[in-house]
Amino acid sequence: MPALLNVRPPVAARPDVPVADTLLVRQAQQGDLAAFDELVQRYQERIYATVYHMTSSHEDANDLTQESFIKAFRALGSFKGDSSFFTWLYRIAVNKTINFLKQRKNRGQISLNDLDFNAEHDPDLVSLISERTPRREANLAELQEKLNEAMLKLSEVHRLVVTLHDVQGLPHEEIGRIMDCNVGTVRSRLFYARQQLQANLSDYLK
Amino acid sequence: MDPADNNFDALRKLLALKRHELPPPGYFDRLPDRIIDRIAACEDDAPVDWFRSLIDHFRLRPAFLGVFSFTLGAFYLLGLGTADRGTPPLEPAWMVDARAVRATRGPVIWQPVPEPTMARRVGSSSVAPVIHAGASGSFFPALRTRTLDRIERASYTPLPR
Repeated sequence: MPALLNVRPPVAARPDVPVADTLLVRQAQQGDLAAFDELVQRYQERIYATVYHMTSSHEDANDLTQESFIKAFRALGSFKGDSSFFTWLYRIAVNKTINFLKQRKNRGQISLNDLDFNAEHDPDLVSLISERTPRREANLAELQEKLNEAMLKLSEVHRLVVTLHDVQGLPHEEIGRIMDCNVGTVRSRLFYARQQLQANLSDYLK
Repeated sequence: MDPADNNFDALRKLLALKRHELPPPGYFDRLPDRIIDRIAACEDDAPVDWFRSLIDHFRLRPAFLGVFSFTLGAFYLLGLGTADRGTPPLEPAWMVDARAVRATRGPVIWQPVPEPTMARRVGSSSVAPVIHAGASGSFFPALRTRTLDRIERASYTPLPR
């Protein structure tokens, strides 16, 4: 673990141009906590979202997100730059989350986040509720619960590929780098996961 | 667009719901501080391994290794230089006038001269004893003081009869 330094955060040559990840990582490897803090701020939302969609629990996502960043800081010495810091960090968070889910005996308590204000105005959701659902009064909260229950029925790797592609919009190639598998495997897992979800959510997708 | 996506269009729209699931307001404002605090706390709680820490410093900062080596070398040379000057061998300073001892009221503490610089020769004679003119080097201040009171200059001046 690098010795800690508290120094002023790195300043880019132009204020409107963010400091490159590689520079921040290099400084963080020397113990610069301010540089690592900047990296946390850049990727905290994406890491948290991935972990949350995998666990469907805000409490678990909170703990695992923190532990993933802490582990990343401790392992900075082993980051050689073969991949982007983003991919490397994602891999740590994903592995940590999958290990946590496998060790957990039962499914655990669902602790869903609230939906934001824009959910009611999302065109995809509006059309889905008004036209597709047999019960037109079905509200978004119920849909959210059923969706998360269906996600939790998937295996960890299938849940992960749906999360990374269909929820977070990552391309197949990036998912392959994170999951350490080829694009073909990503596509086949994604297809299978979608089939399972569609079967479990058929009442809400008609 | 992937052709397979067409069969799952409704599912894709439903999965868009998950993008609207957000943590409590302000959560991401506080999260970085929590992480940094935990990292700092882990560092503080870790047992101090000075040797590993030193090795880490050498590995990450080669310049530190250079300065450290130079400092060690400088101290070594300084020690050598100091040792070379030396002082002439001294005679023990516990030669005390017997009459002075009988005149004292308390015990005489005989203290060898701990350091050459604290002693001075009396006269130029090679047989002239050296007295202990400074602190005896005892760990006990009381003894140190008593030593100075009790030891008197030794002299070969013939005593009056």
